[in-house]
Amino acid sequence: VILFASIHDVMAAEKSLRARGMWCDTVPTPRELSSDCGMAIELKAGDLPVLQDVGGDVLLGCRGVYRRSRNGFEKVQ
Amino acid sequence: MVYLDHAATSYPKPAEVTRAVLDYLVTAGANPGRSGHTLSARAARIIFEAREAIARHLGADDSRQMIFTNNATTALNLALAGMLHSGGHVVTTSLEHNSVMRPLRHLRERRGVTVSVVRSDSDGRIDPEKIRAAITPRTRLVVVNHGSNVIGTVAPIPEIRQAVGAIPLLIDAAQTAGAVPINVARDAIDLLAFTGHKALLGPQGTGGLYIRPGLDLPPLTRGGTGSGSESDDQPAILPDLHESGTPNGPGIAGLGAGVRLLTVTGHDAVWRREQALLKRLWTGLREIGGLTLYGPDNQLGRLPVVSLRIGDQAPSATAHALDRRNDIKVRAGLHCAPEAHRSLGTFPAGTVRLAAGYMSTDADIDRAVAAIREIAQEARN
Repeated sequence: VILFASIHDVMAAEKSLRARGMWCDTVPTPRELSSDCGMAIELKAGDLPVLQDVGGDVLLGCRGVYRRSRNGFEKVQ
Repeated sequence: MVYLDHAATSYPKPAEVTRAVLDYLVTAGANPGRSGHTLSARAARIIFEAREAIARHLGADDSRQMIFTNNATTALNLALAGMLHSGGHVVTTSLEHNSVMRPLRHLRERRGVTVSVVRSDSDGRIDPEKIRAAITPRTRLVVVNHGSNVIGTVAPIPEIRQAVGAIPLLIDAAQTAGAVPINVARDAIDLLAFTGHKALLGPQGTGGLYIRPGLDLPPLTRGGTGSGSESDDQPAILPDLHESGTPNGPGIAGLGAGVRLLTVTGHDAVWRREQALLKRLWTGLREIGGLTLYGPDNQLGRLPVVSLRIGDQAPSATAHALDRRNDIKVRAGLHCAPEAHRSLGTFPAGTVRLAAGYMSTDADIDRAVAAIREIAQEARN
């Protein structure tokens, strides 16, 4: 799950990821990560290395990348 | 019916625009991005795409710098209130609309801002050298009307940019965004206010402000943005800094559709069409006796906006006759720009304004010219 500073940044990241053929979804910001009322981006954990590679414009405004696990969320970046 | 009041608002709107407004209301309609569900995401996506479209259309590299407002007036107020503080000086022109003149008067009276107004010549042209001459060490902003809503003249932005040097430049593009090719990055424009409902073909209640990256502009309003909700501090990032409260989603959806239509058509094609309409209108009107036409006697480089008077007939009487007898919609009076009329020598009665737009037809122009010929003949007899 990737948190962003603004809804605009969420939309920009979604567009960039889909343009690269990556699956992603917009989800309500998980309460465990932030009390923000907006949206975050969820993508497959297996795509994390690709995300590290493309970085740049996808992660503009990024406020943190987290891996969802049974025990909650683990900060990746 | 012939509609020649496009300088006030464009009408009719293209089918793509009305369809986009309806689609938003029917298929999205939720609060954009605030709630995280799929409808909310859909609404946010539509607004994001509209922002990308307008940024591309106006030459902005990053659409975050494009702030949506309810109209050009709000955008101008945001820019002026944020840039001008006690002891500051601003240079502007006599062609400005009251959407600039009234906020400047307020800032002069309440904040002690000093204002220099550079007069246009009687044809509505601004000399960049006069702007340069009005600049003082305390000048914080230069405000220039890009296209006159009274007489259609277009200000030479590159020459003005060169004349003002590094001083921030605010362009009022209410009449020109969508009609005249604009590139904020190429022309080093710091701030550009636009409306969505005129040449950009969108619905009323839309507009915006481009803010150059790195320019520090405090917000005019503060409130909920759907971001940083845990804090009562206004988010410092764009566009959220300047976009508090629920936006005009349906309007922005329509604006996005209008901009995309213009982009597909092409800047140059739109400009050429508007020039052809102007030429047809001007050529037809100049043959009519007893008519005074304002502005330079050529058909190049102006918006298709023509101001005229029939003898000493009150402009309101001419406009009323055109409406009731010929079903032709035009606007009479001062057009919210009294200083422009002082420069033209048409204050306080004003003029009759015929303003064509991209959706106007040759037949519209011909009907208007014929009706004015008839009214002018009657006035002479």
